[in-house]
Amino acid sequence: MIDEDLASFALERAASADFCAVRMEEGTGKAITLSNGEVVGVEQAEERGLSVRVLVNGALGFAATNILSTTSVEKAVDEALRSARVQRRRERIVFSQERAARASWEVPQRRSLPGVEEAIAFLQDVHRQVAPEVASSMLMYEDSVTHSYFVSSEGSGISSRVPRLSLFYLLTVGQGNDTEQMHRDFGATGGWEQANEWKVAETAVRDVQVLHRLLREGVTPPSGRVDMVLAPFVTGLIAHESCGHPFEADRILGREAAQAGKSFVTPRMQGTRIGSSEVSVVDDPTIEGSYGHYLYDDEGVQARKRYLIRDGIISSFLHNRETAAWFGEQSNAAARAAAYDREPIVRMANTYIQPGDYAPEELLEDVQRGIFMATFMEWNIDDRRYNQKYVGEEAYLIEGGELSTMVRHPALEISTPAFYRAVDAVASDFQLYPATCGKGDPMQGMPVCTGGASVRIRGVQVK
Amino acid sequence: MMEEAVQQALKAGMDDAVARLVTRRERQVKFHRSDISVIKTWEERRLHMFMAKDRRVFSLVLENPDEQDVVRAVQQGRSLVPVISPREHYHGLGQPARGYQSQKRFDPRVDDERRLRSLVSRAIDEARDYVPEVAGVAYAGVDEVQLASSQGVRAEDANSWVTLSVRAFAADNASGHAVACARDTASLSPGVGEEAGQRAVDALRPRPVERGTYDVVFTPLAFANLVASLSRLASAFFVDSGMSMLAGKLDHRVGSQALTVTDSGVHPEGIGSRTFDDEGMPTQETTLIEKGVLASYLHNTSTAHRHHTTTTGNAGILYPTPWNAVVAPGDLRPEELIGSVKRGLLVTNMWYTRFQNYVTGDFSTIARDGTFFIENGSVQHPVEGVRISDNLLRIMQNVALLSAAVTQIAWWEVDIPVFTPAAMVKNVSVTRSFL
Repeated sequence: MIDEDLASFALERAASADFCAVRMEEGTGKAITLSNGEVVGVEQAEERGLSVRVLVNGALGFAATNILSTTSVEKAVDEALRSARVQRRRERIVFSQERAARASWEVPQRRSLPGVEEAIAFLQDVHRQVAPEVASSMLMYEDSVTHSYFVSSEGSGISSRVPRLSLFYLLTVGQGNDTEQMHRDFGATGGWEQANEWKVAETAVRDVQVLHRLLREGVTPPSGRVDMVLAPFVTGLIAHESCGHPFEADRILGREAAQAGKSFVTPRMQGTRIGSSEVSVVDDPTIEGSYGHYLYDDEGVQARKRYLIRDGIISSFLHNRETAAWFGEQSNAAARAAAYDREPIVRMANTYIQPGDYAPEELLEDVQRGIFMATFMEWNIDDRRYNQKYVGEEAYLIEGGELSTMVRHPALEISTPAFYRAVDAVASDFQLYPATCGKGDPMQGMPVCTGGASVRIRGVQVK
Repeated sequence: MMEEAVQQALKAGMDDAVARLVTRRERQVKFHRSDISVIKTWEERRLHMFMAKDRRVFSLVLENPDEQDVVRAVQQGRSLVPVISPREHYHGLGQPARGYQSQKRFDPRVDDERRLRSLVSRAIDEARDYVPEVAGVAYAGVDEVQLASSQGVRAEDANSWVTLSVRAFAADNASGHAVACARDTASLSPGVGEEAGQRAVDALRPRPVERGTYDVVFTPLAFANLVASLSRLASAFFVDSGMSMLAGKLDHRVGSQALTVTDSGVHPEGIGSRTFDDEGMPTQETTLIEKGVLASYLHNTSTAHRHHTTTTGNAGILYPTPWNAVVAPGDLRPEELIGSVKRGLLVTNMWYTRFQNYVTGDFSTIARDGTFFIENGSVQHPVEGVRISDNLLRIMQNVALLSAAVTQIAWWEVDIPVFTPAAMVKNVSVTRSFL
């Protein structure tokens, strides 16, 4: 049980601050790794601690401890206050005014999270089904249940309980240097019932078959200008990397400049066109059961769906209270912290390309010669989120409107505006894929989803 | 508490047990737009328990535990171990055959708030002499580690670290980055802000790079990115799991004659140095690549047994891990590396290294901060849009020249400390995005 009195004690101790928020968390988690069918080990971890974040004279201080005595908490509060007071900032940090929230929420579970034995059996079953056809397999299962309590000097008091589970695999087929690999993540908030919907073994068996076919039949992809159809596994990543990240207002303002970088997007670009009118990109934390789900962010602001790009126009950025105030807006509840001892910063939740009107097969019909990219392995993007690369893993040639032979490692290297401009059709399909987004210093791996609809892009350069 | 935890585990029928208590305090000063963003402090105490019975392996992390928590953890281990499948390749814990040797620096006051803030102020001022905008972070911290194991190990360690990372912006597309790392403030290299600021100014008005093959001079900050990836994949865990391009290549050439890489847990200046590993085995220097030939993987007791060798003192009991990667220097000045290049690039930093295939080593990574075109041995002008799309082993095999000066690199993107010289690598494939 979280000691809410201790949080109140910390809040009272920080009464001299212009603003104070105390976050406490208590939870447990486990991780099981299977390497080539062998249980490497079972790891369990508990998480229990408190952090205090204060705003004093326009400066921020933050302190965290897992030593939950009044003495230690006093010390943490005093450190946070002193850390803020000693700064002499030229520009005062201001938080947007937000309504204080009193709430208690939890993610429902139809089945409790699996015990160690059941989770191992699940992983071993997946391994058994692919083992005869793979050179190696790595599977990892993780789950956690986190109780949180947030209280602020503005009168907010929010408690929550979030169970979360995920599974990752990396499969290798082939021998020597003639190999192919495929990775996938599965994840959700909720209970063990979610795992039934993942169809892990079925997906893994199919991935292995695809990789073998790629080794047997895969040809060098065409280069030059072609049309491409990208499945949600790929478009979701693109939405995350080249829309979600550059639309994070803290990046736009340079707060992550020395780490994850800045953004090619400037404040003045809000309301301007970035892509074709076919494109809308959404970030929505309220999707129940999704890996990136939450109802209140870690600054106590109620979560909501956000249009980042609407009909090709830059609609809104992702904000916490600090960036919202700078922009003269309200926070849209994007402040998230990966743990009690991490500062809430601007993060995505579930970022996706909004489905359009085309049937997925219609995207292919109109392509005489092109590439269909279903999945990727390698990708990266520069630190202004402008210059990106996605290398296909499962990918096919499109000839006369139909899929033909597999192609090996087509590389789409494209600038962000060029990508969104090139979209001429968006399908009605929709799929979310869980992922862990990296940002923050210290690093905060954050559960998110990427995904959305399939898209067609016209006349793009590939190699 | 450590001794008691191990005894409790043995009484509960475990074959092996390790209790490792880490008490840590750390401070961060983060800054952007030439101003402090936030100052953070952490004070945390965690117990890492490892237990094994009949090759069934279990680990647990407890937050600031008391004795009751330890009893509870052992009970949990006892109840869970029977349902865990045995690990064929688990072979127990090591027993140190020699004493611990440690000459690493230690500064218990390294996290002093005033000193850290003054370090940041100085760096901002230095960079601001060149550029309008500076961002970065400074960390300083101290940890104390107590370890007891069922092999009779009783050991204590203490570590300190301070790092400064500064990125200066002369324009949105013209930046420079420099870092300094040490175990004590006195050993921290000065002039980090100036170096970042100067490089940012040099990077102004970049021209688009042309796709093609270049000889590339990597500064230590850039080369460390690749070496960190290589040393992580030298872990026997990744090798045995089919996730490393180094698998099956012991005694084979994986780098050029110029390339020698060691892992060191005992480097006096290394911020990853430690007296003993997570089994309590003494850390050491391990040659991974000797003049281009793969000499060893990184081992704990179990992976060493599987590979018919001895532990290299790199436990992680579940996953062996590097401490500090050390690239042996060459004998040239950085200017001489540039002078040797007829047509090439100078890359001063990289990020977002991602593999298409861990077995083959095919990957790409993106140059960031000042990147420059070299022609006929001299730097001509800055370039932008550079992506290195190549193969990690091919790059290591094409290392032609190394500088004499070595720098310790660790920052947000390079989480394994790397001591490395600048490197000149022949025939590197460079791509860029189509606009």
